[in-house]
Amino acid sequence: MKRWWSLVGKEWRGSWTVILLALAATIGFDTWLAIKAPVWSARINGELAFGLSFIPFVGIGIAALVVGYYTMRNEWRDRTSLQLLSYPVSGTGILWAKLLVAVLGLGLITVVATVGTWFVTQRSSIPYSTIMSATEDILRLKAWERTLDIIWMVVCSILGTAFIVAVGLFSFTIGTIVPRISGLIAVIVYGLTWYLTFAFAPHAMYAFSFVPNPGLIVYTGLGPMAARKVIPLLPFWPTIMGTVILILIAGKILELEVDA
Amino acid sequence: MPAIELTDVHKRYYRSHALRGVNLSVDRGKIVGLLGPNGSGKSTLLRICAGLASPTSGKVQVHGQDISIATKAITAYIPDIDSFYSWMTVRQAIAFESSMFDDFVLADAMDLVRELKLDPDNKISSLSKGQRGRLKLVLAMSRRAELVLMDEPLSGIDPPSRTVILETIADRYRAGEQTIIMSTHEVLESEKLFEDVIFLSEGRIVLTGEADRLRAERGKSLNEIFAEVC
Repeated sequence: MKRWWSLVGKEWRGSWTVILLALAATIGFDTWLAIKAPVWSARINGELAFGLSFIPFVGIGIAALVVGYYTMRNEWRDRTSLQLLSYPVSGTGILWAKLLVAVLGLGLITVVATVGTWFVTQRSSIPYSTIMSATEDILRLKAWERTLDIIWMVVCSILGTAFIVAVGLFSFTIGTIVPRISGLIAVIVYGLTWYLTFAFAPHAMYAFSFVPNPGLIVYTGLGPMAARKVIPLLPFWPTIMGTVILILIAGKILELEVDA
Repeated sequence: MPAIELTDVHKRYYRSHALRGVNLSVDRGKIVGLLGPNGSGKSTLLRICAGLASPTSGKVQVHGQDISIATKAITAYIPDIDSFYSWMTVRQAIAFESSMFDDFVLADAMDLVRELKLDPDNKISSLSKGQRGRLKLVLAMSRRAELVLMDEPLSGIDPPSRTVILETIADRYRAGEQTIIMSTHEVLESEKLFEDVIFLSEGRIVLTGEADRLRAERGKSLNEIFAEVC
């Protein structure tokens, strides 16, 4: 386990420059929006700056799609794969370390982007009716229900991100089996994995609907007719299963088939 | 039990055949020269033994075990190319290596760093080729590894650094306990180091034996034998 944490530390220090740049870009962009928000609220639209503050989240989504692939590709491009694979660590250990750091990095940028959006919102003059319609359902929840919902949404976001990163790690690893056309193979595997994910997701969610799932608490209807409902988060178990399966397969291939 | 044992090992890369049915047994506790021209399969053979490449067919064992995490734990491998995380400093590279191997002796590493005139606070990206060659040696020779695989440790290194590297190998080698397999095509400089030699040509072993016996039998230096058989 000591070796694995060492790998995590190495991954974190190796990614730190990129993470810092992304944080600086997010903070810079949100600060600019926060400065412009009062001006735009008075002259153009009170929701404009608020809407634009979601742009970093698009960037985070795109980064999640490619980070798994690139973190592996860099090892092969820089030939550090020779060093990495000579360590007495399992293939899955290497991949879990990369996955953890990618999710932590993306999580950190997401937290900063969320704070940025909140800050921009404070500086914008969003119409009261818009705020009410957006928060009405949330305000009907009890404090503990709201907290539980937030926890499950954060957990599901982390699991979703982990799966997306795992697809990238998996695709690159499969590609390295055929070094001469590894990029092409990786792209095909990447596309195919997503195709299979969407094709089988409904079946997987149905299969896992028979086991206990976490749920989001919501209220439907108004006034005394309001009814409390729990919407099960059916992708929860399939996402965990999918991530574990991808990492296990890729880890085994990394140990047995791949040339550094 | 031999240090490494290869049985009918083949390695193909598409149309090229890097190793063609290699059968080899290397005794423990010796310095062995793996000699052959460029493209003879030396690097492939060492990478397979280090668990960095898989043979197309055949069996490879290190200390009686199939290649696995356990064999990687007792093997130190120096690649022919620079395989460093260039953002690390020399000190960070040593600390990282020591965290990965239980047999790494940090005090030995710092001694070697001083001996080989490396600055621990220098970034790897700023090191010269010769300094990187020395750092590779620091990382491998600071371990109590039972098997050390060195792939062309002198390749592309300036003459003073080559001398330092060869002297360090000779000084730090733990005779009887450690097996060193060193590949090179620069035989003249390193031949006095070898107890056993393996000559490899076009993916096949063409000659193998004790260095002194081969010299005596043929009345030639290893460098001359190399020119003859490879």
